[in-house]
Amino acid sequence: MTRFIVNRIAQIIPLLVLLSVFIFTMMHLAPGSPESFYLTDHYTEEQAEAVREKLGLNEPPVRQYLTWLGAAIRGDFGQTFSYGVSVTEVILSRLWPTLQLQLLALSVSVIIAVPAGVISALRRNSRLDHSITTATLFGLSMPDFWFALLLMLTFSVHLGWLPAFGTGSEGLFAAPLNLVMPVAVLGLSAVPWYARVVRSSMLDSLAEDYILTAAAKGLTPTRITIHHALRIAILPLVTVIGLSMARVLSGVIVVETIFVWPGLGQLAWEAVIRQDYPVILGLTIFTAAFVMIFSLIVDILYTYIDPRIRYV
Amino acid sequence: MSSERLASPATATHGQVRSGSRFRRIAWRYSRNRPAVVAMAFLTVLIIVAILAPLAAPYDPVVQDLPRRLEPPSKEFLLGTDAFGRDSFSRMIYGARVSLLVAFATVALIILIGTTVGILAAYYRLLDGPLMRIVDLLMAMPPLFLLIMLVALFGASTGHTVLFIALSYWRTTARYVRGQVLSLKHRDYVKAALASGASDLRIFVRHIIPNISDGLIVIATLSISFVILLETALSYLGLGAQPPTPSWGGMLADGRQYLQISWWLTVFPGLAIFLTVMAFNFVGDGLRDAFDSRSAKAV
Repeated sequence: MTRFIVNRIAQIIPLLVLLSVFIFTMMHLAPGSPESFYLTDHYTEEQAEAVREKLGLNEPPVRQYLTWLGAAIRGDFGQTFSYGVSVTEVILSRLWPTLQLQLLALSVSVIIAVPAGVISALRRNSRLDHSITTATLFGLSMPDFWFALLLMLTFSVHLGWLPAFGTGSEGLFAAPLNLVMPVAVLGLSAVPWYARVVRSSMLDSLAEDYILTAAAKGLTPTRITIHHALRIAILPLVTVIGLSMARVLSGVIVVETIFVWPGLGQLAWEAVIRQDYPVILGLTIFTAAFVMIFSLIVDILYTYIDPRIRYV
Repeated sequence: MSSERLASPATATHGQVRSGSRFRRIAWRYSRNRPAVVAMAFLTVLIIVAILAPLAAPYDPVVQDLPRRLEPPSKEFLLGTDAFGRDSFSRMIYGARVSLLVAFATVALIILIGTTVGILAAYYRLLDGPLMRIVDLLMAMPPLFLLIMLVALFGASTGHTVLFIALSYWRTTARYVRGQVLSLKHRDYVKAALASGASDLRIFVRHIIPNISDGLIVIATLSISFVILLETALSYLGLGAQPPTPSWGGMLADGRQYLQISWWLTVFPGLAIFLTVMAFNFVGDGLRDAFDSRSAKAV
């Protein structure tokens, strides 16, 4: 097990380096230049030169990259162009609002999707099953930004129940009312994916011999469903949730932009628009590392859920 | 799936159609799936209207008429007017052109890249490692972030939208094709073709691609809905088709400012996206159930 973990971590590092090379190359191939963002409309060549010098854009690209890599290995991702703080600081300050959203959204998705998938599988081909599968197809077709706008139109504009923007709080936790709509959009948008996975893995699991054994032992249907069938059927869901962590950032870009939520998604959007190279690079590496470490954790979780799985 | 229910009568009366060609069998099975038929009809009308946009649209989509701005839906302006007095209905018809054109072009490119990479990876062991590492790399990259970054760096245009969505999303197709080809590679007919001296290219074109084409058609249809969602999200963020070209996402973004007074600017373009995406999903699911091949079921 330890060897497995060490091996996996050793594989992550070259991938991250490769990714940074890719992003860096893209940024330097792109026609636009970041200094234009920091200059007024009428600037002199000297001013442009000064900005380039200050941002470190005058060095040859390869040296720029090596300097960045050298510092990054030591945990220093450099200074942002436009936020006046270091990349690490700006990412950390935006991490918590996004995590709050994502954790709540994940709970909402799982709480709805698991029962929906299980019921669908248990009552296969019933009217209920068809309603659930049709509903998932509706959900899959719903553009999340439109759903967000419709909620806003209904609950903020017409009913005036929920605030449309921001976290509504200066403290550690966002105001509950401000959380409702972003969490609903993010949470519900994942339900169709998760419910489909649970349904199909439940169907597989229910067909297994150990279910027959459990029934032969005289266990109650509820116990069989939850302790025997669902326990194994939940594995693919864990995989899918692990994979969807890649969306921790991307899925929230649109939603955070709409609800003016000060999280990583909004930061990504701003950084791209401002061509803040260090932030773009830092965010990419940060999220990629997060995704890879998360998928490692998922693999380790497997061994606890299904003792038949062993890593050597 | 809703179609499971519909599959049973199809198999019960299978004898009636056994004599027809494969295409007729598939068409017959498809026709038993009512939502899929309705969806196909909707898309046919939509595509025709999009092609004939200049004839179908009652007004010019870009001509401004400021005195008549933000008018609610009426007989004159079916879906109301926007902040520049432009007719929303006409803009939606032209917007369909952008979304559909981008979707078809992107999916064609995705299938081309995905199939090529998938076949190469499955067939040449030397290439498998490096190609699959690229797929891993793309998997670790937050998808929309990569897309937004590329579009923002290289400039927003319809061509870039197509190119960059395709470059970010061919991985699913590649993985699918690789899996299918790995299992086909050891079939007797492939070995027979190899033994009779067929070139690799001939084996791909004559023996492998026909055996995965059903699956590819299903993937392509389902990908269209996914690409439309991405394209509209991009144009909502201002990174898709540029004004004054009307696009559904762009219309939603424009309407956002007037959410408090003009609900129609938010409701209708979104509805268009929703219905179109759903129609492609129904058609994709319908095709998967209508095809009788292993490759379609594996999607």
